Amino acid sequence: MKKINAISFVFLILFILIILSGVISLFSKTGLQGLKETLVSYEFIFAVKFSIATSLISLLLSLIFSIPIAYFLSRVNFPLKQFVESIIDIPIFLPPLITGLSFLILFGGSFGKIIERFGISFLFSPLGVIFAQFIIITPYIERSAEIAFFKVNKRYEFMGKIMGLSDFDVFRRIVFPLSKKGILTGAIVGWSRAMGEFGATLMIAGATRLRTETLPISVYLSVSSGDIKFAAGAGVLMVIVAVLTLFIVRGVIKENAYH
Amino acid sequence: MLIIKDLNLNLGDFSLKNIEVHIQKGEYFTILGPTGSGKTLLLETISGRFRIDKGEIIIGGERVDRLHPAKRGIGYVPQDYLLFPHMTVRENITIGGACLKDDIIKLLKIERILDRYPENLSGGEKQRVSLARALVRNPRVLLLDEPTTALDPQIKRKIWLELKKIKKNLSLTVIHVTHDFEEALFLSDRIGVINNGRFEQIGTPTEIFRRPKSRFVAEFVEIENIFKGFGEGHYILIKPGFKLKTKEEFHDNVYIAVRPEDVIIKMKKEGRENEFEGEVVEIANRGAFYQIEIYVGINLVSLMPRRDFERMNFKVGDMVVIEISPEEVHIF
Repeated sequence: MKKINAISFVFLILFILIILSGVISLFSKTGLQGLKETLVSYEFIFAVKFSIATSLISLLLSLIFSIPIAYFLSRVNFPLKQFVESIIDIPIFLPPLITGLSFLILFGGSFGKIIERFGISFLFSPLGVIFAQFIIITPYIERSAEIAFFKVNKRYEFMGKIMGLSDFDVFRRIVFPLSKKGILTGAIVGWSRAMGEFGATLMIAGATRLRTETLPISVYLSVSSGDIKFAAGAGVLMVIVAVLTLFIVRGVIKENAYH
Repeated sequence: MLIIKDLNLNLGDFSLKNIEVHIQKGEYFTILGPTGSGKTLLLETISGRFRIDKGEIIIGGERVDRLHPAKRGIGYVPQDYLLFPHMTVRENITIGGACLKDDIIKLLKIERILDRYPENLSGGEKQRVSLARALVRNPRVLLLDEPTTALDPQIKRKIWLELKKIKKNLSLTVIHVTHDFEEALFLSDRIGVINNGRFEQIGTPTEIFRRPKSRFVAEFVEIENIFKGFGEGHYILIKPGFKLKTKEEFHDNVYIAVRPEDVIIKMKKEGRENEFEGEVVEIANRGAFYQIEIYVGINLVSLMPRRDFERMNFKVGDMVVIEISPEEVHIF
């Protein structure tokens, strides 16, 4: 057992070193002065604000869709349920680039023209960024919420009904508070994924400076134009966001109390 | 107060079959049965968790089997209490708009824990809160699902006394589910023994205890002396050369049951009916009683008060005489 532990420990250290070497090389490229310059640049501030705004909107939309879908799937059995769940999971298993490509074709065709008549245009627009993030993060958030709802003892709902609560109040006062930890964890992970979404965004919304420029798109544009310092600065900020997200998620998971 | 007529419910892997019972106002009715016999399912069906396939549930003259659980006039105390973990005791009791009633809070002695969360309550406190939550809604029928299973034996007995007191004070009609025969005996006006989704026997505790109607009921109420026999008038032939005299006449294959406390051990014959000489095979100390197994051609178990046992002072291998009064030989 001691030998196995020692070998495992070596692999653990090796993997941590691999991850840290990437992060350190990002820092080394930008340097403290470079990081400062990046942080105050107009383009960077736009990308940060744009990423935060689009990711929060897509998160909100995703929660609006995910919560009822997750509750329905956690409580109701029906024929072809597994098939339906597999469809929801498609964006998890497909490369985001392909998911994005499929919607590029959809919105670039006659359907896109129809919705354009109503003033809605997803292609190469900020709306496309929100749509790309929404489609990529919703399956994750839905799955987290579904697991959280599934874990709530159904007999609590029955007790709520005996106490005179309506179906809506049973959900609002019993099911939701008891599953909010799982939903919150899913929402934080989903938001983090929205902040880092690249492939689908590139396909649907394109990479236009100061228009559809999220942080990852900003990194992509900077690398394409040879501005590695700027790209590394944006990368450093994304590392900080990822670490903070992990920190919060771990805190939420550790917190056991319901109140 | 509560009438169940020919209730049938099929859940695929388990079903309730032809449940028929009339429970009077103010009666304490216990549903007694082993794990998996359908007793909790029956309680949850009365409270509205499942829609029945056939039959009727009538509470206080009103048919309720199609009504919403909140409109059935029942108070339900589940086995695991099901207190909402994210709400305080006060919120748990008043959820759905119920009032916190002082008399019930005092009766159940929970005044000091109203602002605590369930995770900070003992098993006994959780049980009281769950009971308070059911009682503040003025139920027409109180349903208790194994309310003492999770409690220590000493607390259990205290709760029995309190349940009796609460039932008397509030003039409640109670249906209590348990697998504990002693609990059923202590609390009930009547007992319904349930097995595999149907009632095997409904009767007073004495009827169930002394006159079981089936082998299942006899075994469940811990009658250890159960034998197959053949009725020959006033005698039951259990094996060649061993007959027991009975009060009534029988002429068919029957089961006989004799409660262990009705197998009387003495040192010599007194010329009475059903006296047999036999060897003591085993002696087990069960606290206030001794359980003694004697071979008299068949193995019979006797239960004897500690003081009597110590006075007679016999041991394994000794010869003793047993007597079974024909009136205590129960046939089914």
